[in-house]
Amino acid sequence: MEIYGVSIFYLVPLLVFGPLVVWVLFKVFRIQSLFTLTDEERELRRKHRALVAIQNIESAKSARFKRPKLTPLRILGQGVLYALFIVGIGAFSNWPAYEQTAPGMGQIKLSLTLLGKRVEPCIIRTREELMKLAPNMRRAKSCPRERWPVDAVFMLDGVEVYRQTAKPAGLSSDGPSSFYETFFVGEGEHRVHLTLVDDGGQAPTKTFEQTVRLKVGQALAITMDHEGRVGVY
Amino acid sequence: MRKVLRTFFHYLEAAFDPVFEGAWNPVRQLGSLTFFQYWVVAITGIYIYIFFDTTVDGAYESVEWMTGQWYLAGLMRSLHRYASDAMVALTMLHLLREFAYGRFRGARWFAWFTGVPLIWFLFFSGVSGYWLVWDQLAQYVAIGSMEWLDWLGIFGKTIANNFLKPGAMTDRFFTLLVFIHIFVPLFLLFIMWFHVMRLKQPRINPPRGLAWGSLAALIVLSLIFPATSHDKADLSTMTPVLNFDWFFLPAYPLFDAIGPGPMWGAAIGLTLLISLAPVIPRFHRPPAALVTLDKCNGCSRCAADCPFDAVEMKPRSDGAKFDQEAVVIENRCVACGICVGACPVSTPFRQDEELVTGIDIVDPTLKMLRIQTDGAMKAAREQSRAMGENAICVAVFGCANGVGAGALKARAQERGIQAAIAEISMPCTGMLPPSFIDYALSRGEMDGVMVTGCGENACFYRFGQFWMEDRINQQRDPHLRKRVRRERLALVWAAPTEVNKTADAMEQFVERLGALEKEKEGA
Repeated sequence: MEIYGVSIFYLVPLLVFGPLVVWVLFKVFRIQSLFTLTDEERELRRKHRALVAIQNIESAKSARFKRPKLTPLRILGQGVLYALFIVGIGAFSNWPAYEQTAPGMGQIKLSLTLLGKRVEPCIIRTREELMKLAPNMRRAKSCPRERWPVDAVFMLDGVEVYRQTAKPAGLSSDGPSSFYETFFVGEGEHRVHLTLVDDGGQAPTKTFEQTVRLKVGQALAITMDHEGRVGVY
Repeated sequence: MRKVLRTFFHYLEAAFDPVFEGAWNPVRQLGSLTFFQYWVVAITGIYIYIFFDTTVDGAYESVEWMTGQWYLAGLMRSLHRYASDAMVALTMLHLLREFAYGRFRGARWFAWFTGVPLIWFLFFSGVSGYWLVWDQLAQYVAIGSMEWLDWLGIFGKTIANNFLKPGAMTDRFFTLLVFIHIFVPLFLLFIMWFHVMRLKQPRINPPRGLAWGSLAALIVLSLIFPATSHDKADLSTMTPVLNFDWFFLPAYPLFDAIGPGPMWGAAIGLTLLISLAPVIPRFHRPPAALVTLDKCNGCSRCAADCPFDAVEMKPRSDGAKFDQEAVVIENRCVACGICVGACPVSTPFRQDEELVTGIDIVDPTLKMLRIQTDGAMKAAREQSRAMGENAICVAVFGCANGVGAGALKARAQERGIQAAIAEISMPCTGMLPPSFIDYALSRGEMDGVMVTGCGENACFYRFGQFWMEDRINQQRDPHLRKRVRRERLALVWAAPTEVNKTADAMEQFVERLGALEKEKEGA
């Protein structure tokens, strides 16, 4: 549903958070008091602040604001407690080390972002159809926005390790579909095989296969270049 | 669970007391120490930023250069790191302590609720800082964060792709990270202001000695064990073992273990759980204080003393000759009764049957307090007669969150302290008008009065014990009259776990009163 060409979904945050913000401003911060203060009320507030200040000046003489007596034993005790404090901070700031994977492993990342094919093909409008539209909307070619989800199957050394269907992004399902997964694998040669289906059918529309050599601690990425070609980087 | 935690904090505070004494006890200054660490982090951060190169290629080298200058830039870097870690530790302890003591419900919901986004912003600030070093740990943290965000599917493209292959990271993106690391902590400060805005005189600065002490300790740590970086980030590699900051980054190993979806579930679930703590289970708020205009002369002492700014002074509405009147903001009132103790009309000496004061709480009202006092003193006098001529009579005014007059009386009896004790309880000792002390000694024929309350500097209602001390010492209105002999008065601040400390004080007090009685007889 659209209002003046803007999807109603965009109004949802405004409708939800708008009243909430107004409620917070009025109930929590009581901003109405900023506008409704009379001169008399301002004067009262000034007097009140003055009285509070006098009360607090008197209270400030209280013994609780005086520095505690520091005896040698106390200084020593504080030193010990401060030492424990910095040992705690220093230790957990660096230790224990975190092992994200076992030693001798490398990493292969599969990261793909691609557009599925359109669900319905583009149409060419006739002259009559164009004349029915507002002048600024008269485009001869009209393409429905919705795209097919994309299926991806990734095999590593002949074993299927990843199978996923990614929906197109966007409220109108017209954005790209994305895949992202990380695999930790041992060093050495590996055969990678990727199959993609982007037209809602069964048959693969794109395949990629390659043997890669992975070193310990190396991070390889199987991704697409600017022209949509899959490669290992 | 809360009871266990509460007991833990009571013992922890008691353990620190002999060394730090009163206001310097760091366990009672967790919030203000957190504020202080924020300033340390902010100042060191500004210094570091001067030398920081905000490009992908230059960032790591600039941080390494700083680390090499151990006596200044390196020291600043380490302080920046360790003060941030200390901030996390102090925040968590502060949260646990407030939870343990039940300081998150009723009118206090606002401070609790605004504290929840504070935790998110604190972690976000720290994590964004780790990115900027642009070492192997930064790479791990940045990729993990992006993967976590990507799960939401709100970015259209996978933002983790920005960290996929060498050269993918641009200076522009890195500048954005720098901007985030400046903007988020500023927003954090803004929320910190929100967090304390409903508290009167919030303690946002720790006592100077404690501030210097904690700063000196962190400087020592920075010099002994300076913060260092891992190797420079390289997107074509991964580091299997990382030296980890468990204060800021514990979510990342968990994320690796359970994946982004459950991690979001856990984070949002925990956030909701903490946020809803003030209302689940349902909290029955005590009725707010009530103003009786006939008795209110608009002196504004109740407004000055209320720890939660729940009393406002407004122009007079009843045509009386006074300028103003007290008006209670009901949703801020915790019914502690401190306003009752501040009201100069609250005096038990008045003969009115009703004993109505300018501002009063519902349970107990001032009248109920006088009835309770009269009844307890009568019982104590009878007990004292039964005990013999020399028995000492002591009125104990105790609060609901300290040792409590009842517990003290029971322990005193166990110990065989030769005193008849009149126990009088109220929500906070700040509710006690000083004239009640005079009343107990003169009309009630008590030999002494003991006022007990929460642990020192740990008043459940923030200012009860401060105002009480000040009123007795004639440093805050209404004063305790000069004619009251101070040697017949004892103040004992002790947590509920410190019954023995209070009983010791009672024993000494009874001895002192006994000596005073002998002096009196001799004279």
